[in-house]
Amino acid sequence: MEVIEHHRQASAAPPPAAGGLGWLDSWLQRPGAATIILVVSLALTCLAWMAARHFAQDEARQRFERRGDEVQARIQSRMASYEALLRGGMALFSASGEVSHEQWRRYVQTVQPEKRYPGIQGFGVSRLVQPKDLQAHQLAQRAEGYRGYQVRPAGVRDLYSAIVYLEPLDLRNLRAIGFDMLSEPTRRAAMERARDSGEAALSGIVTLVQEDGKNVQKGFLLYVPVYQGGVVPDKPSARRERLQGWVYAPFRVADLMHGILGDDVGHIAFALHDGATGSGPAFYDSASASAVRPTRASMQVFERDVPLLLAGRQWTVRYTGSEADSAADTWQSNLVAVAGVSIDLLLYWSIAQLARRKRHVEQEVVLRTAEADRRTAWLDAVSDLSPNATLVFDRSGQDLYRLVFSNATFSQLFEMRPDDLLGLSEEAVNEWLSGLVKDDTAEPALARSEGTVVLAGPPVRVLERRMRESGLQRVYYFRDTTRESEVERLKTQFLTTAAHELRTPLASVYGFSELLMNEKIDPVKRQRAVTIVHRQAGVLKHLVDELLDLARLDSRRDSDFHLSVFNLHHSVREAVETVRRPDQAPRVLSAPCEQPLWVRADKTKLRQVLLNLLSNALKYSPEEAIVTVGESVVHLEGREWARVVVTDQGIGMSEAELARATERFFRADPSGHIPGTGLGLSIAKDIIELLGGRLHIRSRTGEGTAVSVDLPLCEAPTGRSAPQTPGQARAPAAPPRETATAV
Amino acid sequence: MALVGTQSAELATSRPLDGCNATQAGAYSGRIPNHATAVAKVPAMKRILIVEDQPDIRELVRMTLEMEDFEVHEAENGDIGLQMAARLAPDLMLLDVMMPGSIDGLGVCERIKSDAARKRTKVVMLSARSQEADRQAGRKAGADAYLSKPFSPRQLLDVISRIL
Repeated sequence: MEVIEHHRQASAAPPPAAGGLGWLDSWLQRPGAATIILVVSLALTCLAWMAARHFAQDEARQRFERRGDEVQARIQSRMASYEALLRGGMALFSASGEVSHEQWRRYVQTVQPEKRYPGIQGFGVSRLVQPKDLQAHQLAQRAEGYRGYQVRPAGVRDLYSAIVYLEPLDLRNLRAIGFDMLSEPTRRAAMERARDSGEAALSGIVTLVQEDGKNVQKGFLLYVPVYQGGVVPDKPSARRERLQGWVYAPFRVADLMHGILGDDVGHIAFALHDGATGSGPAFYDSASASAVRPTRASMQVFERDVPLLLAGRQWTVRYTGSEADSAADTWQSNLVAVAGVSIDLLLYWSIAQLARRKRHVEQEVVLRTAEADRRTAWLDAVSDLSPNATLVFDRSGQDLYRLVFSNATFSQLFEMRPDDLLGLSEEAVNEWLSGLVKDDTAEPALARSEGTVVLAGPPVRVLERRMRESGLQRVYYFRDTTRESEVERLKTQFLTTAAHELRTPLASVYGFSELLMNEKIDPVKRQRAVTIVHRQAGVLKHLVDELLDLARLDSRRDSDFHLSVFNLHHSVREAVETVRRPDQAPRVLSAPCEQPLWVRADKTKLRQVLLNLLSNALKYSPEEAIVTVGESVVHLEGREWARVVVTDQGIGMSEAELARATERFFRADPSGHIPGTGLGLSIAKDIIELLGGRLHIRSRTGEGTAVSVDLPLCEAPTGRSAPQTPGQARAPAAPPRETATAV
Repeated sequence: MALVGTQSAELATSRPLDGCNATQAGAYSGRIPNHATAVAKVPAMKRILIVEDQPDIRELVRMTLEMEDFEVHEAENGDIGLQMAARLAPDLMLLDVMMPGSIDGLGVCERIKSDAARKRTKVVMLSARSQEADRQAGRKAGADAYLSKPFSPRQLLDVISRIL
């Protein structure tokens, strides 16, 4: 069997992937590809995150430094303004030599420090007082209106100074009036520096006397010297001698810083340290002043020390910033990281999914292929074993079906090699097969309906065709019904023949009896007619009997048989006696056997067989010819058989006739001269074979026929006395054999 | 034995009719009482040839035909029937379909019908086969009538008188 492999072409090299990306496509579908892509893309994401973070931090640092610079500049410029204001006070003294309390107050009011330069505590004047003048000074001040005025702290010192004016003169500043700032070393150092340099001088960090114990702040003071004569003497010694006092301004650091920077310190923290290094304790820390408290946890802290030179004194500003300050900027890098990782994972998932899908599909294909192979294998086996021919057409186009499969039985029935027709279209196959069909059947071999196809042969075959169409396939199926139709034909033939055989004698009975109704018929003819009617009625009876016998044998087989053990010799003798006609010379010679022929059989049936054989022998031999009946025991196939042979010297049969001798209705003499049905021998054979025996005929045309019947010999029945010797049943009489008994 | 005996006798009585002499005898020996009137009425008696293998049927047909005025001849198979037909030029042939020998009734009928010299010979088929297909085969062979066995002698005479 052959199958056209349509799949083979289809499964040839898959179409090359688009362009040169085939290798990429195949690489992407490898199992590890997704992981490699994940690792690479994660690394890239990490780099991108680091770069973004770096830029963000850089940006933050720059911003931090800019802010610091800004703070620095604002402090410097404000302090310069204060210095300028103080110089303005100094200028007032220079211009007028002596400045009254009222004048000073007006000056300060004009300047409007609270409004324009917030953060300053006040503008004041400290006058240098010689010890000798101390008493007069105190008195003069008391006269001015300060009751109980006294230079503080009390005590004897070589030089005194006293704060005489301090505007605006509120309760806090009033506390400072009369305070001797020279008595305190920090202030004194700054005052002396201002005196000696003629320049503004900033004091160290002190606690102002204005402090009332609530909200105590650090403070410092800015001094500008005032000399007699209004100008700054060139020499330091002269400056000491001519010093009149100081114009000064006290500052509370927190208030000052608030005044300078306002509330705008949220994003930067700084601390002020006195001195060139930031090592000492800070006198101001914006963090404590502000509500915003940077978290310093594990963050890397920006720190920057910037020197601030103010009126001859050096401060160090320590700015601190943290990553938290620039957190608003790192969100970008974090976004990059989060988005990148998400995309990486998505990419990994989809590629892995694709690869898994592809593997799954491949496994599925393998499974399907195996399944298909199995199905094909058992379909092959089934169609190989099938006794019916099968043709399968596959649809290969509009109304075009091609033969893809035919089984072994097809090749055998239609006598063609498997690949003779494969691949041909349905029309071509039909044409081809129709050539094999018998001419008188008009139907084509492959019609789309059930039907019968008769192949011309030889041998002629009758095939029953069935067809099934399912979408893409058409399957034709041919069942060899030659035998069935032959059986059917034989049955019909039997009935026809039987009817014919019945009609022939019936025609005589019918016709002659009609003639007999005619009264004018003469007596001689009447007699003949009656004789013929009687004879033919006998033939009819015989025929009907035999037909019934045959029908019984056919349908009931041996179930009607009444088996018993008896001596076959007795049956032979009875049959011989039955065919003997008293008015004629005996024609049958019997040659019995010495030993009894015990057989187990149906006595009546066996007698019928023997009578049949004897009457055949007599019928088909000349009038005076002798028929012999021989009995013997033969050894065949390892057992003993009782054999009866009926031999005649009649017309005999040719080889062809002999072959058909036991067929039903076969007549050795079909002319009808010898009456008979043609059923006798057939019935005899059936009976003998059902009894386990065999019937054998030897014959030659013109020489005679010998029919032998073999039946298996059996044990003698125990309950019986030994039978008489068959050979002595009759007195010996005529030749040809001495032992023969003529009947 | 009796059956065989009568059979033999039957054959013996019919045998003379088969040969040439028998024909002569049949033609002239005739059934004088019957023929006398027939001869008187018509110039020539109608000549009928029976071709039938069964002697009893032949006798039946003969007996039937002898009730009318016919010159009756018998043949026991197709070959003899054809020979006799050529010699006798019968007006009618009664042909059995199934007969032993080299040619059956239908074959004889075809031969007769295709023979220009036998144009006037009518053919009636007699057959134990009575199916439509068999009748059709008879018509195809050119038979003028088809009688199936068993047939009534009356019916046979009717058919013959209708045809002749």
